[in-house]
Amino acid sequence: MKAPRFFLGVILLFWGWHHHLLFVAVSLCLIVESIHFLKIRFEFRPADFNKFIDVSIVLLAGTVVIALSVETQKAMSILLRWLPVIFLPIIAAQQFSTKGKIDIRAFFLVGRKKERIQALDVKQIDVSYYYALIVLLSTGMTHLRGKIFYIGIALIFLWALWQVSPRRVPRLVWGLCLFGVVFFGFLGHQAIHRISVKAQMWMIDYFANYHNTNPYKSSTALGDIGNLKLFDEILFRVKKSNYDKSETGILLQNATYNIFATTTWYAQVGFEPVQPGNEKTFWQIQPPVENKKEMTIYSRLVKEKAVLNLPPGVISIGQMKVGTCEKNAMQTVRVEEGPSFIKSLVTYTGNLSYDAAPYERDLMVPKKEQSGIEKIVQDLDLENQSKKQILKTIKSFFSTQYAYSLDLKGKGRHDTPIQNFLYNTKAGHCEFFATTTALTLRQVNIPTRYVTGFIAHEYSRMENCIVVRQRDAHAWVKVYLNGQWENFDTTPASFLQKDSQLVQTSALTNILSFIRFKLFQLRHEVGKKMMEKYGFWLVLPLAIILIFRLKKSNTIKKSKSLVKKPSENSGRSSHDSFFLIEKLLLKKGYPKYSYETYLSWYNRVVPDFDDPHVRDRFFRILSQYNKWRFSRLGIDDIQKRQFDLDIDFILKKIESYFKS
Amino acid sequence: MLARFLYKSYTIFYAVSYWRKQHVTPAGAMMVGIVFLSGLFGFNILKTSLYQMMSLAICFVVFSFIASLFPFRFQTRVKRHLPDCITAGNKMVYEIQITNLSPIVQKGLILYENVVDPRPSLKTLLEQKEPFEHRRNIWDRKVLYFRWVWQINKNMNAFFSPIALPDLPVGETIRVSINMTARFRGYIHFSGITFGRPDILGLFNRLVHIKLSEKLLVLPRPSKVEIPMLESRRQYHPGGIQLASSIGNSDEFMGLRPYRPGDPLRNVHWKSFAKTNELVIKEFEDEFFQRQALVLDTAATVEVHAIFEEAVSIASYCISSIKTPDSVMDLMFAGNQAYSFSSGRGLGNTDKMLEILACVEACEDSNIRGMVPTLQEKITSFSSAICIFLDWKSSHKQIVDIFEQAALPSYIIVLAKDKSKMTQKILKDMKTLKGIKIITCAQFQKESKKK
Repeated sequence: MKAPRFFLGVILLFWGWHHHLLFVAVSLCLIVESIHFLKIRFEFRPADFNKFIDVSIVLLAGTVVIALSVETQKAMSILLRWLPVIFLPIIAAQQFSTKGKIDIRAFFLVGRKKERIQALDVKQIDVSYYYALIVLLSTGMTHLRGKIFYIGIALIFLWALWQVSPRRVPRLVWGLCLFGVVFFGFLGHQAIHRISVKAQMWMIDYFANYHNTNPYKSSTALGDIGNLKLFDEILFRVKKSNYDKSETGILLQNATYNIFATTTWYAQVGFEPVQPGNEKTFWQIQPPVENKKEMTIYSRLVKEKAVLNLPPGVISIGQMKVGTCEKNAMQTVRVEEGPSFIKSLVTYTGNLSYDAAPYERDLMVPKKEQSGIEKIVQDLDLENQSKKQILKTIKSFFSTQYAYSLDLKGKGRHDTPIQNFLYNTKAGHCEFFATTTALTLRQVNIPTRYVTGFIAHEYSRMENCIVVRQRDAHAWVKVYLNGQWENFDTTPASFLQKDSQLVQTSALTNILSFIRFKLFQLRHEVGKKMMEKYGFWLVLPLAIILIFRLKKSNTIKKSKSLVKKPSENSGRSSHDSFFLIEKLLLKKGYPKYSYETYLSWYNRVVPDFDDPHVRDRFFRILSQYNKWRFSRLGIDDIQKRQFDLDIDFILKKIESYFKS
Repeated sequence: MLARFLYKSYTIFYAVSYWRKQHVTPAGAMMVGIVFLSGLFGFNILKTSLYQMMSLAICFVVFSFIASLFPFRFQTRVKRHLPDCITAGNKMVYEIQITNLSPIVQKGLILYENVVDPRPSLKTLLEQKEPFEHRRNIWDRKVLYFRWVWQINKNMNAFFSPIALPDLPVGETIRVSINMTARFRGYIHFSGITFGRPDILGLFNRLVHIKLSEKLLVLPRPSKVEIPMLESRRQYHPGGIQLASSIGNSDEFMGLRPYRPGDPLRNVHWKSFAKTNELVIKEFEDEFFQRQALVLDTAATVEVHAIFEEAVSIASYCISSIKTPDSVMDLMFAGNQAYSFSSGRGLGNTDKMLEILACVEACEDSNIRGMVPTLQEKITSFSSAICIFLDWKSSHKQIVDIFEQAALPSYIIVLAKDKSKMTQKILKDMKTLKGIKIITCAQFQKESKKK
């Protein structure tokens, strides 16, 4: 099946319009559709087609290499975007070949060698519709709001289906059916959209629980029984200029939550996108300030997304190659469409001045917890103390009377795990301390928020940076004091030591992790720079192979013009115009079969025409045709003119006969 | 267990593929492809618009499929005009005559030729190996896919492209030409003809099947081999046509010539002997017709299947190159037992012989030695012999010895993978290679070139 005239050109323009590559699309369109205006054709042998296919394969390989080197996370998208250009050599070769088709064996390396079956299995295919499909797939890779894409696709489909529509079906019926199908297709795609959005949200939520931090919800281990498992796996690395090794640790916030229910913290705030700067690597989180600190964080992304672990008061994040970046009012920052490893150059103030002012829910204490919390408040006489004193009292209360423990005791005989922690076990991990502190402070009208994140404290000499392990995960509280949010950590300071003792690090694991980190760095930092600098040299071998393959292409013969020049004698030129009658009668249901002579065909056809003029003229045309074609003398110019007139007459008569 | 699973899978896959070829038009296949590809790449609807294309394509496919379920009435009379036989590897054309007996003009019909279900049985699949299968890698040999494809091709023997029919006016008869190329010798078993009519969108076909069982003989492709003129000792002697009942002996004297061993003593010209003291023989006008034995070795393993096919092709050439109608040729080969078929003067024509040759199969268990008793019994009636051997063993030597002892001129063709090795092998048994031609199989030659 050959695509109709200008079909490919229109699809290419549609593609260029969607991808903002209209200039490229116009060039492709001109190449593909110029066959209708140019008479140049080439006599390609099967081996010549191999070369064009090789060119496309090399282009494909080159695009894959470049896409993977430059933007790994978007490699597929880049590849699909450029598919029409990649496969252009093949379609152009077909269009400009004398056969107008490609030997199917050229597409398979094995097939190219099978000369043995040459006589039997040669199959020529027309790739124009396949190319159209590739262009359409490429076009669809863009995401556009509105109905333009659907309307365009529907029109293209109608155009293609018109070519194969059965002649027995009245055009009106065909059109109505098509309209119905397009209408249902429209409803269908809207339904798919709705269902998919819901499904994707559900999936994001589902996977978020397992692979990433969910910025809306944090399940704690409160109430669990057993032992909290910690691991020494390095999750990310922090490089900070002027790092003082005697510092107790840097709190890196991951997510902030403000509603507590049963054993889970929730965040009821939405995310807003952060607009990227140049090259989509710079993200201005807050307006620029003067006194800012800097820190470089190397972290991993799971499933192309992550909630970032950031120091307090982030101003901007630079050198971070991700697709989207969003933040919420509680300064939780999440990124998507990133590679598996990202570098972030973070500038920050070190204070929590950008967190949103307290909401009502920052003071909410669950009813179940109220009795237990009230008792603590009364015991510590917090209601009669100033806010600063309250913080001091609580800090000393937890550090003197409570111990850090990774044992999980559940809720025991108490109503809630928090009460069990407060009055029975008096030991727990950071989630207990943070949650109890947050609720106690809320009870005395101090707004608090629960924060999860990491404490960066382990300096690695080998790596010359701070390594943050899974065991360094921590939870603390943000307290709103004097119109300003502050970090407040009541977990006994000994917890870091205890965790380190419990989870010993292995030197081998550290080395392996370091090697992996360096490889990541090589690929994503150095590799990218190398690609930008030396990418040309990487693609050069492919180009050399290409030139080598094409070395013999000059053997392709240029075919003589396919279109015969009109003769000087008359307007219509030759006896071939007789075939117009044959063609028309074929359409009207009077085919000339291969076993019939023209005379027997004439005898079969003419009885259906009542007009004797038609019969006579038809017979005269037939006689003249035979004479012109087979006689040595041919016919003179007057007879030729008469022949053309007779043909015009017959064509009109047949048309009018069938109309009536 | 694995073989059974694979067999079931291939059987189902073939059935689905066959259904698709007749029910789904190229446009329909393209539309289904759009559904799959747009579903695959457009999975994330938040980033691509491909789901819109998928939705539209699904609607087209569903509507078209439902429309294709509505039957259409088509009464017709069909006749296939087949030749008596064709040759494997040669393109041929035959015609199908179709008469529209239904009360409406039929437009846009597609004709599909049907052959008998080519799927082999599990037993056949396991037993009948593909030629050169031993050269395939272990994975290919285990999964049996290539063997399955080869058996399907062999059973089908030819591929038929769908034919778009011109409009069929009421009561009209048309003839359509079908081009085909048979790949293997044997038969093509036609089972019927299917007419397909595309639905309103042209994506799916509604089919009407018509039973029309016929078979077409495919003769082996002859391989040209130069065979020298085998002069019999019995030429130019009276009584050469003793087997021909309708024609008597000739006593027409022609001349004298020196005696050669094997000449009957009764034809010695004693007067000349008396004069010259050397035996001189009387020659009579030649009414002798040749009776050649064509001995075909069928003991071929799968590894040398291509050699066997080459042997059949050579045998086919030998038979078809019989020019004189008075000649007789006896085709002899051994399977489970020895077979002998005669053709020529008054004994049937060469077509019958070629038909036998078209159907002869290699037999791993057979031994050419089984032919010895039949040969010894008939040896006196032969004037010369052509032997086509697939190997050289003691049994082959024994056959050659029989002809030598009977002083019958014989020409031995030995097919081999490696010519030099075979030469050495033969020279161990024979003094010279006179009258023996070693041919390297064309396919093996190609294979060795590739190496």
